[in-house]
Amino acid sequence: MATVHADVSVVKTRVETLNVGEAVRGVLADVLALRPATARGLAPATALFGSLPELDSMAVASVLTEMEDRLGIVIDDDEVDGEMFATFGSLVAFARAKVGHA
Amino acid sequence: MVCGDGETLPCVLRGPVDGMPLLILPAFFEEMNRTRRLLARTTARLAEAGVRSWMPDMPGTGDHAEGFEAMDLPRWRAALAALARVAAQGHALHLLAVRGGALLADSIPAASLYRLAPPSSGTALLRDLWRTRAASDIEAGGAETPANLEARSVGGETIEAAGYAIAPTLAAALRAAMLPALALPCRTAATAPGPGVDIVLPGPPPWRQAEPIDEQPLADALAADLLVWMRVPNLNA
Repeated sequence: MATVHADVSVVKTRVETLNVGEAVRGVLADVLALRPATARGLAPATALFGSLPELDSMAVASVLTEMEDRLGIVIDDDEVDGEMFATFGSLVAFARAKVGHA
Repeated sequence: MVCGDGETLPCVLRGPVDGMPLLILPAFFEEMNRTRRLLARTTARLAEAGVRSWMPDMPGTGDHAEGFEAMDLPRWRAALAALARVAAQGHALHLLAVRGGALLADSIPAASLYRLAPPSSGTALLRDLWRTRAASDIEAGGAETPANLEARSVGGETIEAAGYAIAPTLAAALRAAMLPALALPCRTAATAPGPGVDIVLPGPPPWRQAEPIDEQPLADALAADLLVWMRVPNLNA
């Protein structure tokens, strides 16, 4: 059990040094309920939209919202296109750019 | 059934009558349905440890007498404040806010607040509703966009989204709802690290799942952390 009085500064540091790639992997794993092996196997070139059967338009909406929550960003839906969800690498690149501008 | 200020809320009560009281501020929309079983399992664990939990069906949801049009944030705030006074009964009352419920925590008299995965604002919840609606339109061959839905809502239209008719007044209240800055002790839990998160509990988050998952690990961890949090002596003095 973690201590009750979590040191907020420590937690913040962890968030700031958060690996964006791992965060995006976690979002896909949790929202799409991917098998652990599938989630671990996501590589930059892994095709997403059209290739992952779990990733339909509805799931895309949930992925965007969960990415906003976890990364503390706001995604304008005008920025969302097929290219962004083409591969795991392209989705991570989008998230990384967003976090950089946050 | 509990009455307060002319409002009657069906309530699920668990735990000993004289136990430490905990009032649950439920999530909104589909997220409320998706977290019901998690809360049932969490409060069952808490009851074993002597916590008396109150889980209300808010106006317009669950077994409440009125339809969804009764979902109105000012009314929900008032109903929760009235219920808090009933639930406390002379004890220090603790609050468990699930997701959007944290947006309503500012007006409720309590000793502490525990937030499970609060959204950054009401706008974030509204954006998710429009996204869900736009996605279902696209799957049906339509071409509605979240930005257009937002414009229609701001223009006074009621928008059907994720199975709920979102009236312009409700949308406006969500747009204005921010996570309140609170004077009471507050702890924030989530299923992944993120801004302002004090503890990470085991996921996946049930409020994001279209299909049921096994929430028992999350329920056990949430109950255990809540118990430690509620028993901090200076809170219960």
